Amino acid sequence: MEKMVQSMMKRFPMIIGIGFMLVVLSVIIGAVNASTAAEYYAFEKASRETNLELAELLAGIESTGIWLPYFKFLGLSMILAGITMALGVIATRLQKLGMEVMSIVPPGARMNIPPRPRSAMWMRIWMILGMMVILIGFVVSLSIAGTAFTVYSNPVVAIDSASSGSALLNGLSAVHSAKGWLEGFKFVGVAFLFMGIVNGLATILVALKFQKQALPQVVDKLPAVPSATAGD
Amino acid sequence: MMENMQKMMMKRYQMFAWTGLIVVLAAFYFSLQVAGASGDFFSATKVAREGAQMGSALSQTNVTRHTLAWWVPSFKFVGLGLMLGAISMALGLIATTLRNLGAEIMAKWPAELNPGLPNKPRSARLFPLLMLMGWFFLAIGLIIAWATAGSVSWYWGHSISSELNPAGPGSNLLQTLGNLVVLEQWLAILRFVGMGFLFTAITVALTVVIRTLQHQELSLAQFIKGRMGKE
Repeated sequence: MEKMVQSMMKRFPMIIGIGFMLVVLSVIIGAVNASTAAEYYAFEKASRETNLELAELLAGIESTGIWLPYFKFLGLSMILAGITMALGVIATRLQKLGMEVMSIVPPGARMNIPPRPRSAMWMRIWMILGMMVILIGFVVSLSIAGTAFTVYSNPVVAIDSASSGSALLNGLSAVHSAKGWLEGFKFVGVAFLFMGIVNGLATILVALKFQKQALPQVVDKLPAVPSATAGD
Repeated sequence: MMENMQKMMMKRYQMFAWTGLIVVLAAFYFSLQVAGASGDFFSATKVAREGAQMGSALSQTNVTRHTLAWWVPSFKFVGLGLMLGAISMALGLIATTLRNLGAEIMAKWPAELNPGLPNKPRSARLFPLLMLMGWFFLAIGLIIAWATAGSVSWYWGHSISSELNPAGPGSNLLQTLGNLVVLEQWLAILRFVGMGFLFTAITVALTVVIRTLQHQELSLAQFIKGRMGKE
C-alpha cells in the first residue's frame, strides 16, 4: 500500500499537467458559452422570453454556467494536489537521504532516524478529502445542471407564470438553492487541499529540524581527518 | 524586536491554518443558510415573490439570502487568506531552519574555509510584509462588507413590484442600488488583490528557500575544494 502511494506521489507532474489541461479546457468552454450568451442577448426581450428555440439556447448557457466552475475547480484541485504530492516526495527524499548518510557514518556516530511524523499521514488525508469534496461537488453540479437545462428549456414567460408547487417552480427552487450550497462546497475542498500543503510543509520542517539537531552531534562524534591536520 | 515578533508568529503557522479552516467551514454553514433561503424564496410564484410587502416572511427570506450572499464571500476569502498566510509562514520557517542548520555546520569548519553566513536576503524581509498586506486587503474587504450589509438588508426589504421596480431617478432606493452595485465590484477587487499579495508572498518565500539552498551548495563546494587543496 505504502509503495503504491509512493509511486503515485512521484507522478505529481502528470497530475499537475492534467489539472492545467482541465483549467485550459474550462477557459475554452467558458469562451464558447460567452459567445452563445452574446448571440442570445442579440435578440429583443420579447423574443427571448417567448421563443422556444431561444429558450433552449438559454438552457445551454445557464446549465453550462452551473457545472463549468466546478470543472475548473477540479483542475485547480488537481494542481494543488500535485503540489502536495511534490512536498510529500521532498519529505520522503529527505528521510531517505538521512538514512543513507547515517549508513555511511561510523557506527559510533550514528543516530536513529525518527519515524515518519503524523503530519505526513495528515497531508495525504487532507489531500484526498479535498479532492473528494471537489469531485462530489462536480458530480452534483452536473446533476443540477441537468435540472437547470430542463427548467430553462421552457420560455421565460412559462417560468415566470409557473404556479406554486409545480414541477417547474420546484426545479427553479432546487437550482437556486443548489447554487448557494455548491459554492461553499468548492471552497471547503480548496481549504482541505491547503491543509494538505500546510501538513506537507510541516513534515519537511520536522525532517529539517532533526537534521539541525543531529548533524552537529554526528560531526562532533566523527573521527578527525588525518590529512587535514597533517597539512596544517 | 519586530523580527522576534515575526519569528514567534511564524512558529504558530498551524494555528493560523486551523483558524482559516474554521472560518471557511463557518462560511460553508452560512452558504447553507443562503441555499435554504433561496430554495424557500424561489418556491413561491413570481407574482408572490415580487409582490411580497416589507416585513412579510417572504420579504425577510429575500433579505436573508441577499444579505448573507453580500458578506459571506469576503468572510470565506479571509479564511482562505489565513491558510495561505500559514503556508508562507511555514516556508519562512523552513528557510530559517535551513539557515540555522548551515550556521551550525559551518561553525565546525576550520576558520579559513568558513565563508560565514551571508546577510539575510531582502526577499526574507519582503515576504512577511506582502503577507500582511494581503491580510490587510482581505480584512478591509470584510469590514466594508459587514458595514454595508445593513444597506443591503434595507434595500431588499422593500417590495419588488410596488417599491423597487417603480423607483424613480434620484430616489433613495435607486441611489442605494447604484452604490451597492459599485461596492460589489470593489469588494471583489479587494478580495483578489488580497489573494494576489498572499500568492506573491508564497512565491517570494519560495525564492528565499531556493537562495538559502543555493548558498549552502556553493559553500559546501568551496569547503570541499579548500579541503582537497589542503590534502
